[in-house]
Amino acid sequence: MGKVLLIEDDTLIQRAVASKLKKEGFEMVCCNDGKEGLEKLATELPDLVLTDVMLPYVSGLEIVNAVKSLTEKPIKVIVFSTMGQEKIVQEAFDLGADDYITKPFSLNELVIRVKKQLTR
Amino acid sequence: MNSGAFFRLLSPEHLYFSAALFALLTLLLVGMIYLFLYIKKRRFRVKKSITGQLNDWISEQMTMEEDGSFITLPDFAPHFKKKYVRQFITDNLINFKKSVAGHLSDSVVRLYEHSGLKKDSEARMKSLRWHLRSRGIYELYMMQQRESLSDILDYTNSNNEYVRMEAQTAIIGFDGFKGLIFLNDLHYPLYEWQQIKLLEQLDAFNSEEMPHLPSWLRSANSYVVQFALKLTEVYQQFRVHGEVVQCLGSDNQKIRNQAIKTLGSIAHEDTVFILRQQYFTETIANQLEILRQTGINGTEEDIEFLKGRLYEEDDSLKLEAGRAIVAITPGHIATLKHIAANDPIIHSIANQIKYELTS
Repeated sequence: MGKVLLIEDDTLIQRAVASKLKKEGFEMVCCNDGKEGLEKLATELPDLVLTDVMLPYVSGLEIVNAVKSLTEKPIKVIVFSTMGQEKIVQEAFDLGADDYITKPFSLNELVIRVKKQLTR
Repeated sequence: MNSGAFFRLLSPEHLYFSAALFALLTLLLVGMIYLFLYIKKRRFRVKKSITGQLNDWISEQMTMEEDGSFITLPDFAPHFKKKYVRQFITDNLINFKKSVAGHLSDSVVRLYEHSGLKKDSEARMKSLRWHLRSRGIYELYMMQQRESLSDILDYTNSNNEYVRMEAQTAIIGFDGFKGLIFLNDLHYPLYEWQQIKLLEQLDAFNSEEMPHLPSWLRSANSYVVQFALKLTEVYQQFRVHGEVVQCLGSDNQKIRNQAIKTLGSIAHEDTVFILRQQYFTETIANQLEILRQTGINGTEEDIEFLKGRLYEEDDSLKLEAGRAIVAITPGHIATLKHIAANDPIIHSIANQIKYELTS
C-alpha cells in the first residue's frame, strides 16, 4: 500500500501508530528523533512521512522542509500537532505539509488521512 | 570542625590517624557514588523493560480493538510494588492518553483502573504534601475518574495555590460550565493566568447558561467578580447588564476596568451614557477604556463629549478621544483637522489617526 516513515519521539505513540498502520498493510519505518528521520528519509525514500512537530535534534518543520525541498520524489507529509500549535501548523503548511492531525487523535482517523494522501 | 582542629589533624603525631580518616571518607564517597549510579542504572533498566511491556500491551490491545471488549494486563508484577515504577507507568499512560482518542484511550483508562494505579492517585490526592496532592488531582482528571469529582471540588478552595488551580482545571475539564460552581465558595485568589486557562478550557464546551452569574458579579472575592465579568464579556450575557453597571462602583480599579470592557461588549442604548458619567471619576487607564468603548458603541450624540476630551491634559486621552470620534463617523477626520488648525498637538493626533486609517 505504501511505505510510511514515522518520526515520533514518544515510543508508546510510535508503537501504537506503527502497529495500526502495519495492520492496514503499510510498510513502516520508525525513528525516534529528527536527525535519524532525515537519514531515513534519504535512504528509505518513503511515500509518506508522519512527523511530530516537536522532535529532538531536528524539528518537525525542518523535516517538512527537507521532504519538500531536498527530495525529488513527491512525498506526502502529515504533521502531528497539539492544541495551541496552530502557528506551527501554519508554518508547516507554508513549507508544503499536506495535512495535519491534532493530538489526541483517533488511530482510525489517522488511517483515513494517510490513505487519502496516498490515493491522491 | 574548626580550622584549629583541622590543622591539628595534619600535625605529624596525628598523621596516621588523619590518613586513615581521609582514606575512609574517600572510600565512603566512592561507595556512595557507586551505589547511586548502580541504583540509577537499575532503575533505567526497569523503566526500559516496562516501556517495552507497555509497547507490547499497546500492540496486543490494538489487535483486539475491533471487538472492543478485551483488556490484557502486562505482567509488571516483579517491579510493581515499587512506588517509582508505578509512578513511571502512570506518567507514561497519561502521556499516551494525551495523544490518542477513541477505543485505545478507553483501554488505557481501564488499564490504569485495573492495575491499581488509580488507588495510588487517590492516595496522592489525600497526601499532606501539596505537590503530591496536586499531582494526584491531575492524574485522576487525566484518567477521567469522575467518582473523585466531589473530593476534587473540595480542593478548588484549597489554601495552596497549585492544588487549587489543578482542582479548578479538573472540575472544568469534567463538567465544563457546570464546573464553575466552585466560584460560589471561592475564598482565595483566582489569578489572571488561571482565569485565561479556564476561559480557554471552556472554549471547548458548548456555551451553557450560568445561573449563578449574578451572584458571582456580587461576590466578596474580587477575583471572582473579575472572572465573572470576563465570562459575561466572552459569552455575551446581556441579562446581567445591571449587575455589571453596579461593578462600576467598586473600589477595585481592575474590577471597574473589566466592567467597562464588559459593558462595551453587552452594550444597549444607555450604556455609553453610563460610561460617560463614569468617565469623570475614573483613573486615566479606565478613562482610556471608556473612550475606546465609546468609539465602538457611541453615536453622533457622543461626539460633543469626545470633542471635549481633546482638551484633556493627558495626550493619550486626547489621542484616544480622536480615535473614538473617527471610529463613530470616519468623516469626522475633517472635524479633527478643523480643530487642529488652532492646536499643534491635535494636529499631530489628526495626522496619526489619518496614518492609522490608511495603514
